[in-house]
Amino acid sequence: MDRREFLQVAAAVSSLAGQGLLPLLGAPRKGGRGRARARKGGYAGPSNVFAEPPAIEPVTGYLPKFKPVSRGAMSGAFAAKYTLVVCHGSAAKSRNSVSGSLDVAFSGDQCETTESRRARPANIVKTKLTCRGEFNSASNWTLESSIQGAKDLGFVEKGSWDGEAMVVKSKSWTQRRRTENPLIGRWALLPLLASGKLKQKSLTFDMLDDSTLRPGQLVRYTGEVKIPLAGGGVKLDCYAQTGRGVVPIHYLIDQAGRVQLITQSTVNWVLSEVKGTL
Amino acid sequence: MAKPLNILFVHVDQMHAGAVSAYGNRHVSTPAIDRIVGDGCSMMSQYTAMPQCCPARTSWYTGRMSSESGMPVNGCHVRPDLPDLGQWLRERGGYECVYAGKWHIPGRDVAKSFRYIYGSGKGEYGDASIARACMGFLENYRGDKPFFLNAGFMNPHDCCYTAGAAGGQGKFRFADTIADELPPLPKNFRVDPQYAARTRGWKELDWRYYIYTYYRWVEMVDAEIGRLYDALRNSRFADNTLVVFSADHGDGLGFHGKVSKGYMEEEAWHVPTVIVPPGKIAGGRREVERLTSSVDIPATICDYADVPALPKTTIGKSLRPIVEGKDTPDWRKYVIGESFLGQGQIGIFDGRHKTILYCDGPVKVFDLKADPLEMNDLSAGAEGAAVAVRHKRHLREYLGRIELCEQVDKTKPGPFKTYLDWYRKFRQEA
Repeated sequence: MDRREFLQVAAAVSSLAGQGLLPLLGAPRKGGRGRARARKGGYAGPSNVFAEPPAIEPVTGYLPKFKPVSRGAMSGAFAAKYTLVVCHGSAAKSRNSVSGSLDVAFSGDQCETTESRRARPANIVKTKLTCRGEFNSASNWTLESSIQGAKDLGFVEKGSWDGEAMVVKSKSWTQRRRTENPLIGRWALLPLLASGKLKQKSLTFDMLDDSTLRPGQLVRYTGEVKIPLAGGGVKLDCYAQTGRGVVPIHYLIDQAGRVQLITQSTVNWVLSEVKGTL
Repeated sequence: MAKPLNILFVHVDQMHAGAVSAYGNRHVSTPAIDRIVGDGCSMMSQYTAMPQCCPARTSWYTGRMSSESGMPVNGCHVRPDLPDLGQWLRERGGYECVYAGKWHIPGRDVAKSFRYIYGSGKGEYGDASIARACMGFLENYRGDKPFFLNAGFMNPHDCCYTAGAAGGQGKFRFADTIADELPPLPKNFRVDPQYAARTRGWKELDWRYYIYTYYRWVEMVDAEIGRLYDALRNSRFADNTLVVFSADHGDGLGFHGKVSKGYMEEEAWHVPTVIVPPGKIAGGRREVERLTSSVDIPATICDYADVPALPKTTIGKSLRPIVEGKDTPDWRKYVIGESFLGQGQIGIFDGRHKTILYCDGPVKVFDLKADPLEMNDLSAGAEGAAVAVRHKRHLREYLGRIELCEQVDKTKPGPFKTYLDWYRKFRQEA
C-alpha cells in the first residue's frame, strides 16, 4: 500500500468509523448521534460531517447494504440494472431510501433506457439513443414520457444532433439548442467509463440528459478509493464529473469495469445487476 | 369577444434575485431564464411578502400578506375562508386549473383547487418530471376552457440540504479538487458567530463550494424551465398565454455570511420576477423604480384572466400597467415584507432607503442606492433616524390597510403572538 492509498483508506475508515458506519463499530451510541444532540439553541442538527471520500457521501447510509455486483461486463452488448437511491439529507450519515430504478441496455450502436421514479404518480421515461464514434456521441434518439394513470400527460420526442446543434421535436414543439462540445447521452458514458480510456485523458462534452442539454461537462479520473463495506473493503476507480446544471457526479468503477456506484446529491444510482451478453 | 388568455405560472424555490446570467451574474448560466427575461418585463424591485416557503406561497395564491393569511411562518394553516387562485379562476373565469410540483400551503388541499398532475420531491429528483408533466399537458390539451397551468419547481431549494438544514452533507471535501472553479465570497461576507449554527466551522472553501453548488442547482432547474418554456413558445398556445416567473424567496448565498432565508436582508427578501405578456413581447424591459410585491402576482393573474381581484385584496396591485409600459401615478411609494420567525422583523423599502425593524427593538437603516450590499447601517446617525421615523409611519399606514388574522393557529401560536402583540403596540403608539 503506497502512502497515497494509505491516506485515502485511513481517511475513509476514520470518517466512517466516526459516524458508526463500519460494521464492527456500527452499534448505536448511547444518547443518539453525538454532536446532533449536543448542540443547544436554534438548529438542532449536527455539525457538518464531511465524509471521506466525498464520492460516497450521499450513500453512506446505504453502503452497509450494498454488495458490489461481481458478474458481467459493461462492454459490447450488455444490460445493467440500477437502483435509484435517494438521499433525504443526513445526520451523522445519509438517510437513504430506494425510490426508483433504471434499466440500461447496449447493443451495437443502440442504447436503450427505462427509468422510473416512484413519485406519486410515477413518471416513466424510456429513451432509445443511437450513438456514433469512439465516444458514443449522440446521433438521434426518441424519448417517451408517461405519467402513471394519466394518458393525457404523456408525450414522445424525437431528437437529433448534427455536430453543432441538437433539435428535439414533439407533435407540438420544436426545441433547438446549440452545443459547444460533442453531445453524449448520460448513460452512453457507461461503456466509456468501463473501458478505462478516460483514465488517461479527461473528456469534455455536452451531456444529453433525457432530452435536456447540460453543457460544458468535464469527466476526469480522480484516483482509486477504497470503500469499507459489510463484506470487507472494495477498491474502486473514481471519476468525477462537473459542469453546468449538475452538482458534482462521481462514478465508482471496479477493476472489471463495472460502474458500481454513481453519486450526485439527492439522486444516486447503485448497480444491482449486469448481463454481459444480450 | 377576445379569447380568454391561458396562464403559465412558473415558480422556483429559494432563488437569489441575482442568480441570473441575464442580470450580469458571471458565475451562473441561465439561458432559459435569460430567454424569459429577454421576452418579458423584469420586476427588478420585487420583494416577497415573507421570505419563507409557506407564507410566500400563500401570498401568491391568496393575495394576502402573511399576517393576514393565517400563515405567518411555515407549518401553520391557511385561513379556510380565503379562496385561492385555483378556486377563483375556475369559478370566476371558467379556467382549467392545473398544478404540478411544490405547493406547500398547509390547510389547503391542492388537489381540490386544481387538477394536481404531479407531486414534488427534492429538485434533483422531481423537477424534470414536473417539467415533463406540464409539457405533456401542453402537448395533449384540447379543452375549450383557457388553462391556468402552474409549474412549482423545487430547485434551487436543494441547497438547503447542502447547507445543513438536514445535516449538512454535500461533498464539501470535493471542493479541494475544483478550488479554482469556485466563485469568490460576496463582498459583504462576514462570519457572524451569532448566526446559523448549521454553517459553524465552515472555512472559506466550504462557503465557496456552497455557492458553487447553489449555482449548479439554479442551472439544473433553469434547464427544466427552458424545456417547458420552449414547449409553450413553440406550441399553438404561444400567442395567447401569459407567462409569470417568480421565486418564493431568496437565499443567503454567503451574503452577510448567511445561508437560507427568513430575514429581511436583500439576499432573502428580494426575488426575481418576470412577466411575459401574450403575443406582444415586452422585449426585455426592466422595471427598476416601481416597487412590487409577491401579492401583486395574483392581482396580475386575475387582471389578465379578466376576473375580479381576489376578495379583500389589501396590498396587491396588478403589474399589467407596468408590463404594458403605462404610467402609474398612484403606484406604491414603499414595499413591506414581514418575517415572524424567531423575534420577528419587518422590512420597509422606499426605493432608496430600507429599514429593518426587529420586534425586540433594534433598527437597521440602509441606503440601497449608495450601499446595495447593506454594509453600512445608518441607524445611529441623523439620516438613519429620520428614515426610521418615516418608515414607521409607512408601517402604521400599512397596518391600517391590512386585515390582520387574529385567529391563532393553536398548533403554532408563537408567530401569531409575535405580530399581534407587536402590531397592537404599534397601533397604540400611533
